Amino acid sequence: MIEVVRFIVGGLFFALIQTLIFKEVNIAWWIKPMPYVYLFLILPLSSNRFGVLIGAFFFGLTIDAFGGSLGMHTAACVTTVFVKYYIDLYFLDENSMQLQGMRYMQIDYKGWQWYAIYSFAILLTHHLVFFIFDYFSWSSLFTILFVSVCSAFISLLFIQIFRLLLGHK
Amino acid sequence: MLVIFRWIRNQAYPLLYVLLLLSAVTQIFRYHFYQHSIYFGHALGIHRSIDVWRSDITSYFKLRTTNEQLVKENGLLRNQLNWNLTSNSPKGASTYKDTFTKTLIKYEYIPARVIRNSVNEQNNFIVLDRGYKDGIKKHMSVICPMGIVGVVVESAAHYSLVMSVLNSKFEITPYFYNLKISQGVISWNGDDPNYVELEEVNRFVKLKNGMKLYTSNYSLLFPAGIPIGTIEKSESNLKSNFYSIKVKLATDFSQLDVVTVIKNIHQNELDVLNQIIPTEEGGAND
Repeated sequence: MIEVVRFIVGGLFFALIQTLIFKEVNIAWWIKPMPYVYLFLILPLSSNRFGVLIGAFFFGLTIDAFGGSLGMHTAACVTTVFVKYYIDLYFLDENSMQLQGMRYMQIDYKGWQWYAIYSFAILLTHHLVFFIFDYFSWSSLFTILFVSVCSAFISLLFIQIFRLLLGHK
Repeated sequence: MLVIFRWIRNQAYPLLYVLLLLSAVTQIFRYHFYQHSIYFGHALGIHRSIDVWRSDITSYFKLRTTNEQLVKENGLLRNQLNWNLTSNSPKGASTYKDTFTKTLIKYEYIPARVIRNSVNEQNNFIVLDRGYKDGIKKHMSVICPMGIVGVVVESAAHYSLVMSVLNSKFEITPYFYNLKISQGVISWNGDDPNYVELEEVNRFVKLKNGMKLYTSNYSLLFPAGIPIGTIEKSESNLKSNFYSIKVKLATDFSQLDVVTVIKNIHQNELDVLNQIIPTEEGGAND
């Protein structure tokens, strides 16, 4: 229960910094960092998948309500959590991780390359969904891909900063 | 039912995802003007395409009904044409008033469908799906939207037999629209179903290829002004006083489907008079 409250508070915190800081940061027109996805990366693997899906929906709804982008973050968050469940199911060994004392994917599990690929894949899923709805045009397909990859990369850098600041492994 | 519940229980996670995603997407389309306009623009485009396909398919199935309606309408319109009105007002003519236009009429039109047709024989006949119960009698003329078709030679209760223009016994006198004269006799020689021969036209008549031929007002069977064909080729020689003319028929007999049988309201009177005129045995000449 305490963990749920922690995630709710964390969610509100990420929603606030996303809408107050990252939404306003103008690095380049093609870069829109959304490092709040980190919240999904540190979700324990044993979490109830239905609870996580509904939680992600309300989390996205909160960011949309703060940022005035109704529906876009919600769609991206719900899809990210849904895809992450299957990535975890097929690529991570939950029992092995529990034996190593890990509750979610960490660098120590299979090295930093694995962690980077895993985090980038989830980030890219999120950013792709977001930018597909943002641009919403077949003619912008390559722009969507380009912007998603760039933004996901910058988001990954910010996530590393969060990890260092929060002292996560 | 149990299978459905089991399937829903097994697929609950993806179903919940789809539900939440749909909810998010609905918000996007409702609150973002750009996405809203694109989505509804495409949706409307798709709906229009589906409407066009549906309309094409249903109109195809309605073609037969539409065709029949057009034939009936043509009949009504023909009744209103000037040349269909009686030139005199015989005693009791009021009984021949058209119910639609309340005008005195000379002809009535009965739509029929061709159920059997031949063009390859020396003497071709056509069978129609209407008979004497529909008002069809012997010696009634048959036309189609393209031109003349033939003459009814026999009628059963529900079917009738028509002697086609493509019959060696069929003869008709044409009206030369450009020259304002009626002369000669058209008949089929049994070769090409698209052409007939026109004979007994005086070689001093100034003919041109492409001249249009119509039914004459001298005809006892056909109303005047129905297309017969166009002059394709005309030859004359000093040995004969007449042209040898090849006429391309207006009617494509291989495409016959819906035809109109013409009933002359005064046919009985004509028949009485016609008995006095000696005709060739078995012929349907007019």
